[in-house]
Amino acid sequence: MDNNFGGVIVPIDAERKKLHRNRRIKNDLISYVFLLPFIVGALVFTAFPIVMSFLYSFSNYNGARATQMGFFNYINMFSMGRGGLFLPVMKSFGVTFIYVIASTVINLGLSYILALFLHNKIKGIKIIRVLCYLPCLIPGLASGFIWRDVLSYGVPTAGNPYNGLGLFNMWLTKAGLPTATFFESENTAMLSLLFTGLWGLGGGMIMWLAAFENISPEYYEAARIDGAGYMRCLLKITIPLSTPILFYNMVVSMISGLQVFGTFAAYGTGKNESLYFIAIRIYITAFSGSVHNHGLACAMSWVLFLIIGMLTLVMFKTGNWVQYGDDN
Amino acid sequence: MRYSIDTTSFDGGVHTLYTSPEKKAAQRKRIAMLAVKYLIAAVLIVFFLFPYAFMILKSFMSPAETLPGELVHFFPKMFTVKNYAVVGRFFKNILNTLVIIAINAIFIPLSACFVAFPLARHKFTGKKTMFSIIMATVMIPSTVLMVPQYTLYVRFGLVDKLVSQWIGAFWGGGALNIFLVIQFMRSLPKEMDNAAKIDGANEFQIFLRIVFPLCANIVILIAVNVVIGMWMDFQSPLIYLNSSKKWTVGLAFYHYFSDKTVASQLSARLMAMCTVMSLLPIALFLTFQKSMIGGVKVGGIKG
Repeated sequence: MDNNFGGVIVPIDAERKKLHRNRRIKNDLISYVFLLPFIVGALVFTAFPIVMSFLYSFSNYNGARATQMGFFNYINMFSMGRGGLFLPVMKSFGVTFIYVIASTVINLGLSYILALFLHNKIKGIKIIRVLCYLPCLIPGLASGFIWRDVLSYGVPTAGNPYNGLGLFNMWLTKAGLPTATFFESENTAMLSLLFTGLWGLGGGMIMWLAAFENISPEYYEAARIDGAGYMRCLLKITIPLSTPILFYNMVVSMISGLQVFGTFAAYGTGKNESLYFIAIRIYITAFSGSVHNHGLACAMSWVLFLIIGMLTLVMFKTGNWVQYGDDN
Repeated sequence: MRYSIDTTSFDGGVHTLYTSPEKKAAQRKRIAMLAVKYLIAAVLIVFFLFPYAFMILKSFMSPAETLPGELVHFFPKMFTVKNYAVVGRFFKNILNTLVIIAINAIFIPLSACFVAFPLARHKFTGKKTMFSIIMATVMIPSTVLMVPQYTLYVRFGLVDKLVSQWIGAFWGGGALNIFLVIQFMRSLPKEMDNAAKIDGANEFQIFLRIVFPLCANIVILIAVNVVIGMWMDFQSPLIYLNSSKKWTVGLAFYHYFSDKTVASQLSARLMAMCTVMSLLPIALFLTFQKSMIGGVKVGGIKG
């Protein structure tokens, strides 16, 4: 600082600014070196494929070549006439929506009730929680095959009234109740799938318990001093302060639910295509059979993308019911 | 001090000697509530453990009792462990899967920490934009990328090779993992970074020597989740691995049992295989239970 006299200040100040700027550029560069893996990965495995997918969706690309360009994939998807795919495609979107809405409501709602119960401070509660969570650890692939076996159904024959019945139907018969068709009928396949989803409630339960623990106990103490009972605390404290996590999980559950594919392993496309989810249709259109219709598959996936984007936007625009705590 | 303790115990003594009828009723009510709670808990446990009981019990049934013509029953009549020999059939596939998940479980958390570091600890131009881009990738459905990625992998010669299953591990490990690490890194104290900076350490040394070792918990959590998730991944192997030598255990399992008549004839073996496939996730969960449930807390805060 010994140069800090009179007219000398100006050049030094400029130099310092330059030095400062250089340091900032260096600092930025270092940050981007850390981000480089993501940038490279995003460009090669996300950005480039997205552009290509968009281009393919306007062609009849089959993995080797495209001979036509145009809007025909989209037109086919929404036309009812000969070669029109409106009905099958809409059926896939329909069953996907039903599944997403029903499974989100059931999973988040029932797991909330389960978590409220398992929030009780009784002896051995930790072990009870773990036992309720355990079915989530059966791999989805395996549990699909387990439920296919447990819920199997067959039409009784003259020689064998129990033909093809699984364990649940056997129990129903023994209890004198009529058998259920489960996955073997178009009408009950979706219900059966949602029913088997009940064994996965433990995942949501763990998440809610974590949410409850994030709520400051001071709120409850204050409420108790004011004479509030259990129900009042639940309605005025626990539920409102659970909404941020509810919102986050609704978004995630919707995005992942719209892409449900895992059921394909055990149940295929379901009886009469009752479980023919849109992701399964896209996979089959693109890779199965003798004709690989990559173009059409891309077009369908873009419609799905558009729906996901729009729904996410709507959810964030209407998200004013979410009550963030003071610290946010 | 002593006196006060004595008085309380004395009061307590009176309490047990004489209880008013109202208090008795309240106590009885409390015990009844507790009984109801344990009853509900018992019902829940029976409900949630049913798939395990079914799977394990059926895996010990002799092939003769599970033939399609036989009556279905819950407890094995002729106990046998022979069904577990079916695992030998999938030996090569289990090995393939272990290679894939080992590479992913190491490099996904590592690259997630690497990418998250500047976003959690630095100020730099374009930080908000980068963060938004990362979070926006969550919305992109994998089906949109499926076909062009396949074409890309064909170009690179990755189809029908195990590489196709772990090539994605080095690029940050996905938005949700990066987000999880950012949240975690933000909570770490910054004093050590500054001290190291004054001592002349560069950013890479700070990351490797100071921040990364402190991230052990989140690294373990992500690694465990990766193993549990990929152990039975089905969609990606189904698209990329064609020859049976390259199949992962989940894919080989699917190809072997997907046919309904085969599955019903070999159902005891099927359940033996399901039991074996469930072992790894359970073992991991029981070992890392604390950090897994703690991780839910880290990930849960703020949408």
